[in-house]
Amino acid sequence: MIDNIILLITGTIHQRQLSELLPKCHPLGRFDQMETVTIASTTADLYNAILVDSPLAPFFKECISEEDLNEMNIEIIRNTLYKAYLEAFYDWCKDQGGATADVMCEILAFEADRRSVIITINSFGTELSKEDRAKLYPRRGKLFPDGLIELSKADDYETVKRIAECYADYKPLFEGTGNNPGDKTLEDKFFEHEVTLNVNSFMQQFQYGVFYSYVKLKEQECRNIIWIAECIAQRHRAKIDSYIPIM
Amino acid sequence: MAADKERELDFLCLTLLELVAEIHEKKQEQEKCLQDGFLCLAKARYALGVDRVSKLHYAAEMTPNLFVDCSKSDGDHTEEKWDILKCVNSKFYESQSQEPTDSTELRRRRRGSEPDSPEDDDKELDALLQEMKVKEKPKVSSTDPLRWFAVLAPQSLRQAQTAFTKAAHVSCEICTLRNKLDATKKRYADARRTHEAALIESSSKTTEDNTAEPQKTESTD
Repeated sequence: MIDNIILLITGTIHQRQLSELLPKCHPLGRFDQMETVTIASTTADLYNAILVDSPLAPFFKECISEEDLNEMNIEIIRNTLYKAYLEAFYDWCKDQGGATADVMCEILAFEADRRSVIITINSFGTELSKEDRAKLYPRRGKLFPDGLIELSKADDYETVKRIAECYADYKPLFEGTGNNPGDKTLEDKFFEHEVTLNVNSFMQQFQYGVFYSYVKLKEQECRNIIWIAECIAQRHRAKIDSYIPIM
Repeated sequence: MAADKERELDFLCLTLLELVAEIHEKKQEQEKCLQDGFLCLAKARYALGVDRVSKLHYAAEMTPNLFVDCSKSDGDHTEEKWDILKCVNSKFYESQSQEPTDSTELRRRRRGSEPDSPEDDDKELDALLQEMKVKEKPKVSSTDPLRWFAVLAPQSLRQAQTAFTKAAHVSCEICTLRNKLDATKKRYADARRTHEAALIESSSKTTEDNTAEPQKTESTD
């Protein structure tokens, strides 16, 4: 739903027709009056006119402002919505208790920490201030609260690496990463860890986490197929094996 | 004279071969930059998702940020040099493209006389801010194409942008070298023609001299 709204707003800003945008929306994220998102010019309009009756309404409270919808604000809306959704989802899974809470809270905690790290690294060299960046960190996960405070002060990749190395789960993810052609990127390492957590969720029975993990692993399969297709199209057959295997 | 011409021909021949080698090298560099750029785009799609890096994120009609300038260098032989120049501010570039202006005025923000007092300064500043606000109203995206896809862009997308920008610069270098190659080829053809004409003339003169000499010796006998 979040991705659909952002896609529609971004497409409208770039003068794309609604008929082009609607087929690209994720079917699971459709909601009533979704198409009317394109008429909003500020986040206040977006909320008051359209989203107030949608399932995203509770997550939108932190995003409302009278500022125009430009690229920076759209990015902030995306991340703020996702942060609110992740926190609510984490709390709901914890309330379920039992094996579901064990499985899902671990997966969602990792997701929250991953988002915090990626937002920090990608914000270097942009006009996003440290204060605004800190507001986008989901307040769940192992990094909350001390790690997030340190991340909000970080200025470069090495500082982020040093902070993450204080956590035993994340230290191996930063080792061996690089931007050279043969190296694995940090995102690849995160995807690998995510796959491991989702595969492990099937080791426990009679819990709801398996449904979430199944969908996530299917998404990873789709990413792998698209990667292989891109390698074939670009004649980089040597790089085909760089996908992340499941099992 | 003939020896000088031959030396010139040798020099031009070597220059041609060097230029061809340089062009070949630059083309390989261009191909590598483009390959790296497309691979980085694929990595960005992998990390962000296919829908986050797609044609829906940019407008069908775009205003260019870079334009190619072709200047002729003065010298014995006019050769063109191709360069990439960056627009200072695409908005002003757009607004002024409708008016017949000098290229020197492209970068000037305001015309007219300087303000006399601080109050006039404030009024001018307000007017300028209003003007910029008006210009910002039509939702044209930022001039940095990276922001169309994500403000918090991953490293792979930034690397793709760097690779494609470098490929554009290398393309200009290739055009300059191709131009030099064509000019050198022309010079070589001209020099060769002149040299051959001179050779034919000198050989026909030698033949005339040779046929004239036996007649002379016969007459003395």
